[in-house]
Amino acid sequence: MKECTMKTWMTALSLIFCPLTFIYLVIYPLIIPGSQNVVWAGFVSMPIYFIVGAKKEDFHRFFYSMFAGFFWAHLFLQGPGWLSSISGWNISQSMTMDLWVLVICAPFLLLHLVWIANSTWLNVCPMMFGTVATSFGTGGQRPFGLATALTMGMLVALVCVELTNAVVGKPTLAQPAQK
Amino acid sequence: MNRSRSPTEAKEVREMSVGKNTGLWLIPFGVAEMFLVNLYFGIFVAVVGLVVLVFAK
Repeated sequence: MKECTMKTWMTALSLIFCPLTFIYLVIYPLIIPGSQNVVWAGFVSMPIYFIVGAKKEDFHRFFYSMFAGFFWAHLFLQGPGWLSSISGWNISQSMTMDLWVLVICAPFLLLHLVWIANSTWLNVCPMMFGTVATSFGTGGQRPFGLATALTMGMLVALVCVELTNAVVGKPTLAQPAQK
Repeated sequence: MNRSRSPTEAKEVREMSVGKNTGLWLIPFGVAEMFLVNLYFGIFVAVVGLVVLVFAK
């Protein structure tokens, strides 16, 4: 495999990123109907996957973790409503939400980071939080559009890195000190 | 002839692969999502889980 400096790699990545993002923005509305359109969600999963190097070996972990994220997102969204419906519950709406998040975060993180972290691929909590954030952004609506946008965002990151590696090679880790 | 199994061999028989386990976990997540998110989306996730469970190595 060829090697290049980090500066060359980043230059190539930047140039490849632009047309791929353009293609994503063109294709997404063609495959997702207007009522499900949440094209912006792709730009949530993209940096989450980019920041760990967008390695193809990790794609399936991110992909399946996203589906588990929908469960937690809607548990976060709907739980405060369940608590508020308890008779005699007279805590403010925002504090009810805060208490629910406080309680649910523990089983959420323990399950995915400890209990099933090594035995399943459902162990990428940043991606699950990305799904939670985007679900909050859509008010829990449009799950199919959201799942497609999140997946396509990850695919853009994956193709960017793979294409850059193919064109200029992998960046060398040992860099001369910059003046 | 009966041959006693070593602890390692017994473990290999019991444990499922990571892929199959993922599929197995996605099914209850999908069923829960049928009620929490959307019936069709939950069915979709459960079917994805079933496919992963069946086809994962």
